[in-house]
Amino acid sequence: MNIRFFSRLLIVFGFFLLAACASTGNIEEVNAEDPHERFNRNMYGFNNGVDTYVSSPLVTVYQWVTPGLLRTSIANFFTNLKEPRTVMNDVLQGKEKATGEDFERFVINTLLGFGGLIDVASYAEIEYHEEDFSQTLAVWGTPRGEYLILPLLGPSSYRGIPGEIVDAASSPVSYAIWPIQVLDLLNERANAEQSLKFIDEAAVDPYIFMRASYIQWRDYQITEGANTAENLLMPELDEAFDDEELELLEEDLDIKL
Amino acid sequence: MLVFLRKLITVFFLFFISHSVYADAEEIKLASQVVKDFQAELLDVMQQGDKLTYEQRFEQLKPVVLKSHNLAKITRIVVSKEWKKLTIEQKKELVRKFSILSVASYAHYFNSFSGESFTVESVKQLSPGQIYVHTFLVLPDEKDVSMDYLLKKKGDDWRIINIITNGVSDLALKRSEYVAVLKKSGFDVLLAELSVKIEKFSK
Repeated sequence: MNIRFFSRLLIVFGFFLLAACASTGNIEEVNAEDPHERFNRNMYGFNNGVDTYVSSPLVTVYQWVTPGLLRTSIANFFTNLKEPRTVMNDVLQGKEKATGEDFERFVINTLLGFGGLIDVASYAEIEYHEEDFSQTLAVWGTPRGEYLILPLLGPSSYRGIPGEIVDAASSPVSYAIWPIQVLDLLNERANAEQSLKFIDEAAVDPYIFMRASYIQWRDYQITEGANTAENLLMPELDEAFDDEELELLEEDLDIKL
Repeated sequence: MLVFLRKLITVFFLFFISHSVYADAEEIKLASQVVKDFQAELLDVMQQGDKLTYEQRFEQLKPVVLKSHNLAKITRIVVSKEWKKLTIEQKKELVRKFSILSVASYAHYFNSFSGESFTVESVKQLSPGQIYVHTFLVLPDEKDVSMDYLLKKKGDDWRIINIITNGVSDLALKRSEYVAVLKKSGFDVLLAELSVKIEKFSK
């Protein structure tokens, strides 16, 4: 039995159950950009609750009992364990150079970095890549489908569901003993600390902030940065502006804290 | 006579082409200098680290942010069609609050130095009024962060209008949020939210 694989299956099953329940509710105006917004916002609230009352206190304890250097080694170890999955997805996407580099990273870090505890490959300036099965599906031409927030796992999409299942099945952590799996979950949550703090500080509407940034960031990963040009040229930039009015607004701009 | 005319046309054509290429190169230089100056000031603030308080960082960055960014236009874009529904007083207040928020966010996040640097990778003219500057924030021991700037011309100057960090457009992100808050809760709630953010950045 492995915790990660079955928990992901349960999450996906739970998602379909919740989605079915949500679809029987009142008919509301549907946001074309996010047709499952009602469900997603509920799930976002649920995940936040779990994070506030369960994950965050556990991570605080984890950070308190483990010195920084040990936490870095643990993070390196789990990153290294993901490399075979990355190599598999590099191959499936036909990325020859990345396949070589990621395979090299795995071998070097496993052999010279004490099983991945030390990221020797980064010192040797071998580039690190992030690949998963959802990205592979995208490269194969599978459309993203609608945006979804999955229970416990967070932002995803229709395409992300098979991606999560294949990723869990192809991750060595899924076949490890349960304390290793728990440690991996703590490590993942601890690594997300800065991003969660950033959302809390910068977002006016955290739900929309997460949705917009997640979709753009995933496109950036999938297109290897080619989406940047698309994001630069928003249609609003070509709208006719009342430049005189804007200049007047800027003229007597007095900003103080 | 025919030969002379042909030569004259060729010379005129070459002059026109070289002049326009020179003008484009000049514009590209000016626009990338805006980004370089802005990033140099950010680095300077970071390098001073604890020597500066949050308020001092805000005061140091204020003139360079106001000079390099077109904050009124950015505000206009992030509220999209809702702009037309606002009164002139509301527009003024929104531009003021958004400008404070922009400077405050820089003062909050660029507060320490651990060997970071900026490099300009490439500069492209997208159209006569738009230039794209592709840069990297180089972090020691971590993957470089891609930071792309879109600049638009304002009078004779080039001003930053959008920043894309690792593929995430700041303008698109804010537009999604602000339009949703304005539609759902109205102007006063958006303004109050911006004040809360400014307050958070000060801590």
